[in-house]
Amino acid sequence: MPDAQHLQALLVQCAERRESALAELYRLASPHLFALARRMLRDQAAAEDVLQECFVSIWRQAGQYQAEQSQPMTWMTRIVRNRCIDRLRRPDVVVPDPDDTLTLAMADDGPGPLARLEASQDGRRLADCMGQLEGPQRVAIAMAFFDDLAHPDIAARLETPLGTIKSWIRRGLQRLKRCLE
Amino acid sequence: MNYRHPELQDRLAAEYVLGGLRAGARQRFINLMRDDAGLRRAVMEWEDRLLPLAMALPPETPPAHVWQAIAARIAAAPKSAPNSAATRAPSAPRGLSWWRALSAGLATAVVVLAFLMLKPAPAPTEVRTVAVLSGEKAPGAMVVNTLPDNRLAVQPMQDLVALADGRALELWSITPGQAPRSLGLVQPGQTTVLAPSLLPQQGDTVAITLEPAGGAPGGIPTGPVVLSGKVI
Repeated sequence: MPDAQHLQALLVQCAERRESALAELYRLASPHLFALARRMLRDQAAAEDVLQECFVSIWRQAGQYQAEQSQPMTWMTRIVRNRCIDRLRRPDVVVPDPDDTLTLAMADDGPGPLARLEASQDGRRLADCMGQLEGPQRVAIAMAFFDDLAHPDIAARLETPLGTIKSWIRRGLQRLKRCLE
Repeated sequence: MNYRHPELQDRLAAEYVLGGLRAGARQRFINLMRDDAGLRRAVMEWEDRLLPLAMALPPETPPAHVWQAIAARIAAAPKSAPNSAATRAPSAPRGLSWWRALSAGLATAVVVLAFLMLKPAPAPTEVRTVAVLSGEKAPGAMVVNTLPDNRLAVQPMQDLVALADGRALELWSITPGQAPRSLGLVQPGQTTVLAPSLLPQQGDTVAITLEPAGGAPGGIPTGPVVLSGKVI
């Protein structure tokens, strides 16, 4: 997991138009951001396009990054995630069904996505707090986050009433917030 | 609905960040965010909480052509503080005297460099990118990093086997006004770690030439420059 201070310094250098800083930022951050784009879009070529667009945006917007407001990885993740969401919700885009292996594995306490999250610098506390949720709450949150599934789609995949899904997500998020305070 | 109610704002911000606001609702929320600092703050707090979830995915290295496309696009963009010596990239002159051409092109930078050299660079404590090398059809094809132990890690950002065309890739450092100094041979398909006696300095140009197997005879480059870049 890239060190936040180092990433911050690289963003400052990008704002000063040092191409080598973007190269290093790319080397450190792109494997995580590409994994997210691939997961959300379920399409290799689309994920490559989005990653390219996002790094050009990061280069152009680096001067607007404010270290006191967000972690550098969070800032870059937001750029990638929002672009993926915009693309997924275009009316002409047909997205294949997500592979549920990863999201269902969020219910497990053993090695898996939660353990990976725990190993990352930014994700350790979140992993602890996710671990305190009930398995189904975690899975519903993961399906919304990684697969951009709407609540009725999550309900259908988990064969659970829509009202239950909504309350899992709402209560899960509130518990996460209290835990992370 | 009263959007200024803090609890409602917080709940909507959470749903927005998680992706639960669909179509019209998402767009309405984005419009509201523009004019409402409280809402923007609530969103940022939720982003800080939830976006690290992305780290639960196994990292995947993107294919090399993605970086090439990015490098080409940012290189084409206008620069805020252009440095005439730095932006005049050497365009692969051929033959034995290519480095003389490079040196001449860089001579204007000598005065500035002499000043910069008065301040010795601090010893690197972390991996630091010192140069990005590009070729005519290969923008950003190679990155040269210094390691904390003062060795160089030379990382191809794409497969350079085709570029090498069966010959050895030799890395050179060129200080303006001096003969090129070989830093060693690099692998076309993987990162090579080199331990040169003298690291490339700010203002130097680093370049890759194609050489016979085993490297340039007598330590003098013989082949064409296929990649080059300035040390920052």
